[in-house]
Amino acid sequence: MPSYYDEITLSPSVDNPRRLVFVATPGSPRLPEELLLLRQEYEQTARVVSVLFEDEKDARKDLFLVLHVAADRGFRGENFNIEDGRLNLSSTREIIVDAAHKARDRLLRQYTTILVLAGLLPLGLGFILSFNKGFGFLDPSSTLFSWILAALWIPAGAAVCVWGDFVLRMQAGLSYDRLLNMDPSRWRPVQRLIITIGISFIFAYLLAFNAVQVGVGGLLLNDFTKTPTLAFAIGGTTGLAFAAVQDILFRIKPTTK
Amino acid sequence: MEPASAIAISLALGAAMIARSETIPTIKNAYVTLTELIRRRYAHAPVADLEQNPRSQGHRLIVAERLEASGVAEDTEVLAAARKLMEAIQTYAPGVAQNIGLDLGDILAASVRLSDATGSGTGVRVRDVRIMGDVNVSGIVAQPDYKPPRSS
Repeated sequence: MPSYYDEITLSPSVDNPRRLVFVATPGSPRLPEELLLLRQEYEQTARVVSVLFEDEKDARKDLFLVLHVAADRGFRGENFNIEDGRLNLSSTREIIVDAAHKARDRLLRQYTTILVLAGLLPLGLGFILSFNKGFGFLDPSSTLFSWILAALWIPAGAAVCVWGDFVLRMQAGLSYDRLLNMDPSRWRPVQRLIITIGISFIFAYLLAFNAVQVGVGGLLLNDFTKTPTLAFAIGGTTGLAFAAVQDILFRIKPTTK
Repeated sequence: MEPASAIAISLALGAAMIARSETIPTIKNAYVTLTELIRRRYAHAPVADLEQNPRSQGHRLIVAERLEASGVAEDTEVLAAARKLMEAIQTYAPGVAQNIGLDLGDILAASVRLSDATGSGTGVRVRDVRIMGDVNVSGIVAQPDYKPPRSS
């Protein structure tokens, strides 16, 4: 059997790998179609590991070593075996899913910390402020008071629903095909929360001035300046339905004709 | 990885486990069997030095070199004993590899080499290999002459 690849290496380094590099045998014949397809699948799997374990260098290194052993059998030298390479890839994907469960648990811990610090804490502070009618320093019927409550409850709603969105996405269980769903936009939990809060405030600003009218069930979110608890729903809507809010914001974006 | 290097790695792992106060009997028995075999057949291999310094890459290299020069690659009994020790460590104390500065690449290569005592051209099924962390390797077939990767 001809040899197509002399060696498979890890790039940029063995300690911090991100890609498999297939070193072709000099003068090797044209690659058969099935070997080419298998190589593409290995490269795609390497990309999944690289994205999913971006922040976990040790796990990424270990998974790339497993990928290396697997690909080595499927491609390298004269004794390469495509069938073994294919079965190895399938086993490697199962190993990746097992490792991803631990990554998911770590993400859940991060989202839960965010839920407590950025969600429950401001939510509680808002209620204390509301029940004590501003401790005599603020007029509970003033717009300023509503905006202060909104400033606490919008991030609270966003944090609670960002956590909820993650949990709901993970509820169906993890399979190899769904791995990248763990972090579809590739934001870290804190980055995702900051972006969601930022967009929530832009959304709230537009709602406050009736630039758009948005209802959730029988509630009109524009009323959050009169009913401050609706601010929680604004953050929540952005956290749970980010794409829908993005669509609303894009639709009112000024265009030149 | 040469069979002698794989044996030296399993010896180092075993020695690291023996140095602990609470040694698992299965590992201890496998380690004693292997060291006795080596002392009896390859007395010039400084196993005692490696036992004193399981983290030392130098001692591992010396043991591997002496074993290789004596043709340990053909000694199926020693290879089987080393494989048994490696499997016991992978089962009961996978984290010990990190304690002596080995990583999954070394363990995979050693495991493949010890599984393939015959050195034939067919693939070698990697037995369950674990290391402290998130990865538990099983169901992988390796090339008999598998070498850990290098950076491109």
